[in-house]
Parts: sequence; structure tokens; C-alpha cells
Amino acid sequence: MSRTTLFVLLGIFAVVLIFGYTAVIPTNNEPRAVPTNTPGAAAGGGDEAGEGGDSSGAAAAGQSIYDAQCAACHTTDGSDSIGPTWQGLIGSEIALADGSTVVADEEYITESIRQPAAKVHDGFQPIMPVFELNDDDIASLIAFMQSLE
Amino acid sequence: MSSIAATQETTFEGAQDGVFVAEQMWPIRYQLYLVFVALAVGGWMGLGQALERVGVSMESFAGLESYYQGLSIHGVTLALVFTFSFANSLCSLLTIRGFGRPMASTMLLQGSFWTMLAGLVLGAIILLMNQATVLFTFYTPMEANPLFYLAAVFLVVSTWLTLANIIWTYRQWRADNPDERIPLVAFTTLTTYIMWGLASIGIAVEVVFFVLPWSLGIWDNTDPQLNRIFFWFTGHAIVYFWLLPAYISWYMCMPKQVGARLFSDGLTRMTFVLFLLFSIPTGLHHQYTDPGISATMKSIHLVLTFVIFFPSLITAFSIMAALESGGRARGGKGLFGWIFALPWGNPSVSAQLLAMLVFTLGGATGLINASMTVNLVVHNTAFIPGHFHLTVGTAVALTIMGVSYWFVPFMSGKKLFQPKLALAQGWLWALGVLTFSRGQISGGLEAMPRRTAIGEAAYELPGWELSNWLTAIGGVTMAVSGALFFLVIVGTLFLSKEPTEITEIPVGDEPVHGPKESWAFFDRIGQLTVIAVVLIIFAYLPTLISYLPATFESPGVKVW
Ligand code: HEC
Ligand code: HEM
Ligand SMILES: [Cu+2]
Repeated sequence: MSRTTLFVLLGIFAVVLIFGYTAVIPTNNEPRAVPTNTPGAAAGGGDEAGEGGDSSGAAAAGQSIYDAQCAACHTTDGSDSIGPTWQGLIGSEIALADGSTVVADEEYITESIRQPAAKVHDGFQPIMPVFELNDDDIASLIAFMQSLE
Repeated sequence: MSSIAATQETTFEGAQDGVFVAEQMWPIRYQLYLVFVALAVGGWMGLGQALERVGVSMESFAGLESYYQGLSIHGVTLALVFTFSFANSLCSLLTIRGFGRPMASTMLLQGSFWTMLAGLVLGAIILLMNQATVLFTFYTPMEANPLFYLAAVFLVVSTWLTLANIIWTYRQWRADNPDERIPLVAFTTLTTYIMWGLASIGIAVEVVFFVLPWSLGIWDNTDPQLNRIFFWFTGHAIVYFWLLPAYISWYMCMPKQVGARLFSDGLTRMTFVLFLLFSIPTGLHHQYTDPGISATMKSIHLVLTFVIFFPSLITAFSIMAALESGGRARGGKGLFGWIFALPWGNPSVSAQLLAMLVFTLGGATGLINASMTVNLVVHNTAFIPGHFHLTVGTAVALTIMGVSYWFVPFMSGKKLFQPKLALAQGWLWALGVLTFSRGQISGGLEAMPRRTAIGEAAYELPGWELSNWLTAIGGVTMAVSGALFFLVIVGTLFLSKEPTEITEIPVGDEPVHGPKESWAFFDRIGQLTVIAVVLIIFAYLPTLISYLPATFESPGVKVW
């Protein structure tokens, strides 16, 4: 092997080693899907809920349920994560995995929470757990969703 | 030094100066071919696993039932068959070379080959029938077909036959040479195998007393956690059984191959003695997150794990010293000039040099795994396969390929086919694994689980996409390199016309500081073994006591 070839090869090796492995630690501070969205969503949601007048108490209650049980999979800022985002969800038309469409009214939201697998949002895995929330909780969650326009 | 002329296919027909005899050469040679068979099968699965990450399903890739079937085949063929048969093959040859006499028992040597073959064939059949998709760690309560465990027994028994043979040969030699130092090469194979003999007790107890009777239906239930303790009794030391044959090549053959002498006989003996003593009482570092084991014992094993890192540092020193003196003797000047003066054009040397370079990263990531608190971050993530493809998957595997570049010509009498391809093979593997492991390591730090069909995962986190692509690109590069390796080996065996120039096993001359300067106690193999046993008892008896009473309550499950 010629000396030049050896230099080049060892050079490539060193570059891969040094640049490849020093950049290994996740250095970006972009929000990672699961945890970091929550605080941002909390702040945003809070403000708007304030403007929402009457429903503000309900929206705040909805947000605390969201923070505790839903934020791992749903965002409130328009970006999809493990589940679809909640921003602009209410009233929107949703394509389902079976090819049909449905409007996201209160009935659909309620069904999605109590029987998540009944209608699956197209492009997502049917992995949402069943949540046994009472009518009041669901009403607060809907109020919270409405506050996220 | 025995000089043996292996100039033709017929070299080992009949006795060759009474040392390398034909009946002993063929089992060594065929055992070496099993190394290649295992690498081919396992490497093919590895390619599938890498491609799975970018959308090629394992089912369509190799016609298997599941990703896990492929992964079980990958683990068993590479972690068990590939490594074991190479250890048997190389260490038998070097024992003969070291003691300058044939192995004590031709029957044991041939038996070692036949049991390895039986284990490989039986294991492969059961795995291909999807009857043992339990991964190479076969954690209970997953329950495989009993024949799978029988195959594992065969594989281990094959190494035990070699162990018995090495010890027997040593005793015979000792009877004839009561006052001599054990020849250094033979010392390294002897200590390696005694270490493994002790280490394999764990897995033997697990299989013979618990898993096999349970899978045969003699017992209804088993205790998965107890089985794990026995498994990991063997499970860390096994990595040294993979690694030490590579170290043996680095210590005993590489200096000669680069035209240098090993630094010190005593330091080398000490290294292998430390491995004999401390390899086993470290197993709990695989069980940091397991319940039912005292945290004190985990901490003791943690400390001992750092102790066992020390002989690898000595190795780094000794090998680098030998390489530097070789490079300088070949005209290398200045701080780094000796590196470029090494015989990089020799594929056997270059593959092993690259294996060593990659191993530095393997060691660094290993220290991360061993640190109990940091381990929590990486445990069971893709970081772990990232780590061990740098160690066993390269430091060992690439060394095995490098050694094969003289071993196969030596055994077959044929000249190495297309050495340029062989050179390219080493580089491709090294660059491939750096890319592959970079992908796995960063995926692991982004919480990507290991042992998971990531391509079919229900969700994906940011950062995984890059990780998957690096894994796939690196994996394909390694697979291409593997294919080149086969081309060279098959070419050497079937297409190469010229006889080889390799007539001698490249074992070095006496080290700079020879055996006279080295401590005689190192040769007290019996006493050292007793000390090793005592250390094992200290490390494992309290662990077992704190764990007991066992709860035999898990019925077997078939999750695949
Ligand atoms: C483990 C992740 C996960 C958690 C936790 C989770 N979801 Fe979901 N959710 C999903 C996924 C995935 C979908 C889309 C698939 C489907 O429609 O079933 C979804 C869909 C929905 C939908 C339908 C929206 C649409 O665009 O079709 C609603 C409403 C919903 N989730 C509400 C909730 C509420 C309320 C909670 C908390 C109480 C919650 N989810 C917790 C994963 C999750
Ligand atoms: C073509 C080269 C190779 C490729 C592309 C490859 C790829 C992979 C991948 C992607 C995994 C991780 C699977 C998962 O966690 O889901 C894996 C696991 C593994 N590999 Fe490799 N590999 C290769 C060669 C090797 C070699 C040479 C060895 C050892 C000598 C090896 C030993 C292992 C072991 C022991 C596992 C763990 C299996 C388990 O978790 O049960 N691999 N390999
Ligand atoms: Cu270990």
C-alpha cells in the first residue's frame, strides 16, 4: 500500500472517529417530542384560556388533566408527536385509517378518549390507551382544546 | 523452534517432525471452517437487522417468521459458535506450537470438532424451525425446544474438551520438563481456557439443573431471576473468552508480524493471570437494574469490573510498545512516523491494527456501561449493540479475520488469494463499524431500545432517523466487507494455485524482558486457580444467599 493511500485512509478513519463520535451527545435543544413540549404548551394554553372568559375554569382543569395524562403523546403547538396535535383539532375534518372522514365534534372527541381504537386517525398507530374519564373531565378537556386556536 | 513446512495441501499427511500430526491438524482446520460458516450465517442476519431499520422487513429479507428469529440466529452463531470455534482452533494450534509437542489426546481434539459441529447443526435446525426464538441469552421464562438447550450444551462441551486437552498436554509436558517455565504461548492458552472452564460453570448449572429439565417438562415452573444470576456468572467472563484469543494473537503473533519483540514476559503472564482471577466476579454489572440482588454486591462487582479493565490497559501498553519498536526498526522516525512505517500492506497486520484502533472506542464505551449510575441511561438501549460491535464485533471479529489471513494459508498450504481484496476488507469493516456504532450509540442516547424491530416500532423519536440511516449504511458496509472476506477465503481454498510462503506460525521470539526476569509464581497454575475460585465464592455466595429462597413459579411462555 502506498504511503499516500495509507494517509488518506487513516485520515478518513480519524475524521469519522473524531467528528462522528464527538457529536454523539444530543446537542440540539430543539424540543424533544415527549417532555419539553409540555411547559411551552402550559404557558400558551394558560394565556389563551384566560381570554376564553366563561370556559376558563374548565379549560384550566382540562389542562391539568392534559399535563398529567395526555402530554406524553399529544402536543398543543400544531406539531404531531406520537398522537395528533390538539391545536385546531376541534371542528376539523379528520381522515380515518379506514378511508372515511369524520368531523371532530364533541361526540368524536369523547369516543376517541373512551374507545380510542374505534376510529383511528389516519397515519397514526392505534396505540392510545383507554382513559376512563367522567363527563366533567371530558368537558374540561374539550374546553381546553377549544382554547388552543 | 519447530519449523514446519506447509508448502502443499498434503503437508499434514503423516507426522511432521512429530509435532504437527495429520490426525490433529484436520480437526483444527475443520473447526476453523466452522468459524467461517458461523460468520456467514450470522453476518447475513446482521445485514437484515441493519436494513430493517430503513424499511426492509426481516420476513421478506430472509424468509423468516420474525425479526427476533433472525436476531436469535445472529446472536447464537456469532456470539457462541463463531467465537468458540475460533478459540478452540487457534488455541489448540498454539498449544501444540507452545509446548512443541502434539496435543495429549487426538480423540479429544477430534471430539471438540464433532461436538461443535453437532451444536451448530442442531442449533441451526431448531432456530430455523422457529422453535427457539429466545435470543442468545435464552432468558427464562421464554421457553425454547429442549433441543436448543442441548445444542448449547454441545457448544460448551466442545470448549471443555479443548480445555481438558490443553491441561492434559500441559501435565505431560510438565512431567517431562519439571523445572522449566511454561512456554509463554502455551501459558496464554492455558490460562484462557482455565478461566473459561470456571466461568462456564454458571451457564452449565443453569442449563443442566434448571432450564433443560424445565423445558423437558420434568419441572413445571422455573425461577427466571435465579437463572439470570447463573447466566451472568458466565456472561461477563464469556466476553474475555471471546477477547483473549484476539489478545493472544496481539501478544504472541503481532510483534513477530511487524518485525519486533514483545516487551515483557512477566507483564504478559501477569495480564493473563489477572484475567484468570478477576474475569468472573464481575457478572452483576449486567444486573444493576435487576431486583432481588443486594446493592452492596452490585457495588463490589462494579469495583472488580474496573479492576479487570487494568490488564487491558497493560495490553494497550505492551502492544503499543511492540508496535512502536517494530515501526522504528522499519525506519519510522519522529513522534508518529513509526505508525506509518508499520507493514500496513500486509492484510493480516492491517486488519488487526484496525481492530485495535476500533477497540479503544469499545473500551471507552465499556467503561460507560460499567458505571452503575451511567448504566441506567444506556441499559437495554441501542447504545449496547453500539458498544459491543466495537468490541466483539470488531476487536475480536476483525482480528479473527486478520489471523485467518495467515491461518488459512498455513493450514491449507495455499497462497492467500487476492491480498489487495483482503486489505480493502479490513478497512471497509473498520469504517463500516465506526458508522454503524455511531448510529446505534446516538440512537441509544435518544432512548432507542435494543432488541427491537425499530422499523416496525409504533412510534419514533427525533434523532432516530439519523441513527437508523447510520446503522444501515454502516451495517451494509460491514456486510460488503464480510462478503470480501469470504471471497478471499474461498478463493484461497479453491482458486489459489500457488503454494503459500507461510511455513511458520508467526509466534514471536523471546520478549525483550524474558522469562528469567519474570516471577515464578505466575506459573503456579493450580494455586492461581484456587485463588480464582475463592474470589468467585466471595463474589457469588453472598449474592446467592441474599437472593434465596428461589421461587420456582414461572411457567414457560412462548412469545413468538
Ligand atoms: C400513548 C400515547 C397517547 C396518550 C397517553 C394519549 N393519546 Fe390520544 N391518541 C394517541 C394516538 C396515537 C392517537 C391517534 C390514533 C387514534 O386515533 O387512535 C390519539 C388520538 C386521540 C384523539 C383523536 C384525535 C384525532 O386527531 O383523531 C383524541 C381526542 C385523544 N387522542 C385524546 C387523548 C386524551 C384526552 C388523552 C389523555 C387523557 C390522550 N389522548 C392520551 C396516543 C395517545
Ligand atoms: C455484517 C455485520 C453485522 C451487522 C450489520 C450487525 C448488526 C446488528 C444489529 C443491528 C444488532 C442489534 C439488533 C437489536 O438490538 O435489535 C446486532 C446485535 C448483535 N450482534 Fe451484530 N452485526 C454484525 C456483526 C456482528 C459480529 C461479527 C458479532 C460478533 C462476533 C455480532 C454480535 C452481535 C450480538 C451478540 C448481538 C446481540 C443480539 C441480541 O441482542 O440478542 N454482530 N447486530
Ligand atoms: Cu460484562
